[in-house]
Amino acid sequence: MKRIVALAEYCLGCGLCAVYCSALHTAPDLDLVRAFRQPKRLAAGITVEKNLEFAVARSCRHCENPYCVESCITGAMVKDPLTGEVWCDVERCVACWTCVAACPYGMVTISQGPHDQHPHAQKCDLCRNLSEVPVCVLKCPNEALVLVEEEGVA
Amino acid sequence: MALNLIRPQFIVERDRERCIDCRVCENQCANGVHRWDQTRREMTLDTSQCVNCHRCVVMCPTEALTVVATPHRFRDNANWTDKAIYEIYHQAATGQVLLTSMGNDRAHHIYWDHLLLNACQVTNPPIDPLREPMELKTFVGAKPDRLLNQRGEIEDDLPPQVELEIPVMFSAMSLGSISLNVHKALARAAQELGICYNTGEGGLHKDLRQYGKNTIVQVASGRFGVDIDYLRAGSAIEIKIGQGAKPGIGGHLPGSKVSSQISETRMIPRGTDAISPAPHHDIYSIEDLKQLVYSLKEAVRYQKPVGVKIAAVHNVAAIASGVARAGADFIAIDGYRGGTGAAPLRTRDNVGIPIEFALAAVDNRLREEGIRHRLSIIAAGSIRNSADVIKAIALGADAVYIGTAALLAVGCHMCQKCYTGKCNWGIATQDPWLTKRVNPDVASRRLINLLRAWEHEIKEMLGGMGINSLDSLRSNRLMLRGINLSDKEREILGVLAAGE
Amino acid sequence: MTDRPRHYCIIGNSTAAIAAVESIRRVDKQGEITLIAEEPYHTYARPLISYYLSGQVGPDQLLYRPKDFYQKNRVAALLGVRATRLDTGSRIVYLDSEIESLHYDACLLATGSRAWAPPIPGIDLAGVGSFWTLDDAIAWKRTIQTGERVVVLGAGLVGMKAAEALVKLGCQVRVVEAAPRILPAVLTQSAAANVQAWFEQHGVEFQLGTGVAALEGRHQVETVALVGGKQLRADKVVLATGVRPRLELAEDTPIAFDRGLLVNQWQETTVSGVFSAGDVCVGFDRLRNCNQINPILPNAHHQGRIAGFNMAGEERMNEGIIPFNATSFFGRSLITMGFSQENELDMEEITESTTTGSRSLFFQGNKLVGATLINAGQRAGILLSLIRERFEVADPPGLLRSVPQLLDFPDLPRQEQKGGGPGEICGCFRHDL
Repeated sequence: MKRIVALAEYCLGCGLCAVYCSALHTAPDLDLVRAFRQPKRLAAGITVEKNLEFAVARSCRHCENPYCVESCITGAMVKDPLTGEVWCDVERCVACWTCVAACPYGMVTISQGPHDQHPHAQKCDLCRNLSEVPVCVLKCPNEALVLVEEEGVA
Repeated sequence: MALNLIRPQFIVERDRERCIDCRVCENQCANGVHRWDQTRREMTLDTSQCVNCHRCVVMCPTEALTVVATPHRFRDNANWTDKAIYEIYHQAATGQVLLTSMGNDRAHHIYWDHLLLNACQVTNPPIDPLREPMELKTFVGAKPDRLLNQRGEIEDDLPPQVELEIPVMFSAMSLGSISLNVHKALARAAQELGICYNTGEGGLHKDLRQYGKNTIVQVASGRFGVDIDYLRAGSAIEIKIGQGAKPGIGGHLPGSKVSSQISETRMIPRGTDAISPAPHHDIYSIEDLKQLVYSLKEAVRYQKPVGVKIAAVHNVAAIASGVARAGADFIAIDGYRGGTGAAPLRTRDNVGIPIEFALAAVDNRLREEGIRHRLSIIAAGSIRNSADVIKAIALGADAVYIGTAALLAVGCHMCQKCYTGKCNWGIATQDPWLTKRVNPDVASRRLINLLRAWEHEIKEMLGGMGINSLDSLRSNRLMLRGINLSDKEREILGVLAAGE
Repeated sequence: MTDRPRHYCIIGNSTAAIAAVESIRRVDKQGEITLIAEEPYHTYARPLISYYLSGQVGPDQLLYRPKDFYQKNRVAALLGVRATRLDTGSRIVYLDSEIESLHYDACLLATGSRAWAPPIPGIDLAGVGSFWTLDDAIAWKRTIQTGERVVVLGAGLVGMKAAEALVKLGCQVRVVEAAPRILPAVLTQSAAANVQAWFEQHGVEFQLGTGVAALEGRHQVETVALVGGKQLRADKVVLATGVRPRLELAEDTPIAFDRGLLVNQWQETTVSGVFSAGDVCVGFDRLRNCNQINPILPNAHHQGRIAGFNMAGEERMNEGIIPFNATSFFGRSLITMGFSQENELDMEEITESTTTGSRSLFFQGNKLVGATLINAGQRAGILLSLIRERFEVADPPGLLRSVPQLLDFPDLPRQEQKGGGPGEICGCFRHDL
């Protein structure tokens, strides 16, 4: 399965990964200006963390036994049996915040996009149905994010 | 408190229609130009700190920023230009020597652009580089006096050589003036391309020992990082007497830039200023230079070429002759357009001569004296493109060094502020938040791309001239014609006028 | 191993049961699974019944797993069938259906709880009912009318979610609670007051620290009489006064229980071959270092999943969970984790208010032992991780002031995950960050 891994050595902490993630999930044609002018814009699935010495961009780990899937009260959060990707079926999500409280990486948030009926859980979905290669990997100005592929779905 | 007469040189324009308040410009500008104003909830800026490095412009995801030179001008004055006036203001305010970086930016003639190349037409057909092999391989080192040995066989007991796949190498840029990540990129690219990079006077970092085969280690007046392992680590040794940007003076790395990494590599205490004196304090004559050359040869058991780097100055031909007779295996000549991390402005802009003349003069003199074969000539000092490489070889160079061109490939935007240590592109700095900005994987790829492109262009131009080997081009002035040159200039360069 | 495929009997149809089915199938593709569900519905998410009542979700969205779940997992689902008795010696389950009994190799008791109310006079009047099952929600949805005066007895999570749904239906809502604050099991006084204000902004009135003396009316309830004399007019009364675990099947068997069924770390009861998971059994509470019922959905799933593995012969141990709860009222989130109240052990509470809510952290020395996040839930899972690992936090006030980030805790053990090289464990190639 695919996973995004960050090279902390080269992360600039610029935040462009989050800008593009949010933009692509809000405006699939990646028109940044239009995406950012929307009254509601989907939160990014990748978060830049910084301390005095390092920055690193973290995103959902698509865990083998995801705590978010375990805790989801509606069954909206699922792990795809073929690709191993963990994604949220927005129609079934009621934004109860349980997955946010469960994820040990803090990688889920509650957000609402311009076309959504209601707020819902939002996290990295590897740009499912939006881009072959996740947009954060494509757009990182220092190639600090890499997509690794492994055997299996774990 | 006295008035600050220095006005901002640049204006940063932000297109508010396109700005999405992502604050990337803010976190990327090391000079603190951009700032998010929490009260007004918009981006604001302090343009006085802008150095026109374009980092924010390039990083902005919506192309919302432009940097322009300020339209604020003094009254037109061809003598007291804005620049001349501001230099006075700076010195009146600080009492300090004006510093600058990179190479001479004055509008003097660029003599490469006054030289035109031949192309074959009918009697001698051009060669298609895609169909015929082209020999770009170059050997840097002393060549034997005779082609045949005493037994009448081809002499194969040669002095040590450095083998280059193409006649271009990366010039000396010290670790300290540039970051380790750039050195890593240069080393990897040199390895991939089959050429060499030069350590400069800052020593050789331990992580780069593995690239020894593609490294020229430099011994400069400060002798930073020089010990027996260092000398043996590279494929050649270069004694640095001078450099084109600042002939006649030494180097100065401020203590604030001497981090523990620099301290370890240069073998000096942390936080102390790293001063390279103007002369080597053990070289006060050409005989002293010969002594050092042979000491170094002894140290590496005569297995590596030992060469000398000089700046192009008056009487450079005589100096080169002396260097050859001192036993150097190669001589690197750095013209006045050469770059630097930091130099006094006046020295950079007024000292030294163009590499084109120096190269031609040295090549002529050494041939006249019958000692041209005793060393290879490496030309440096603003080689900007593959045509400059071809012309340099035609004027007599065996190979060229590129410094500025390499840094541009890595991302430099020529803001000339390297001396501040706040290079926004992560190149001329030791600040870890800035040095991260050069990912050696990306940078080495760009360097390799640059030289592969030049390699193809060189082959195209060679083929156009009807030759398939650099040996046929070397010192071959007949391949060049001069345009817009005075008679004297053509005489020194040794080229005929276009039309002749 | 025996020749014939194993037969698994799952008694229950909610989170724990479903999680067990899924993990059984990961290990044993051949075995037969029969699932016995007292309620006649496809597995549904019980916490969603208040959303269903308010109309926020429709019937299709109630399904906890897709419609083809039983078929895809080859489960014979007996819906609307009640297990009546367990013969643990012969490994037989007796049912009230045409299929009278089933033999099992491994059985899972995931019977959950039932709603409970104290014996208040008038509790059998029409218009009075509990709020626990889908049938309850369906009944309320049919009978409640906009504008009606509804009294909710009990201000726990169930009661408050019911109150929220009733507000959205346009009812006049009052909540009666015996404890001096709402959500008494999870919130401190000040936090409770905060959350109470949200409801009061929507017109809900509260009677706190009061018990109910009686429900009065002829056939239909008309009044709620509080202890102390106050009377509340009521068209409907919703009982949300607690639940009790469904222990019936364990009675008359050697299966041991006290407040809930007793299980070991492999989710097995005191009788070999009988496992249990979810609200009906006790689990190890890592926070309090003791066994108790942890009636939260993540725990049910966790236990069910582990039970399933062990039932199918793959040994997995349950290391227990930290209790936590996340919910939202009127679009504002409320998250509690670990210890969330004073008076437990020797804790210090530090609180910071934000413009829209507050963050309270409970420390024992430098170890985070609990948190209450009112509209401040960003990256809350990191706090749960700190609690779970009993991590020494270098800068407690710093943790309070901002959204947590993993970079501040490089030594925090990261959770289970199969990745590539060591760098993958935390998602970056420098695995010590």
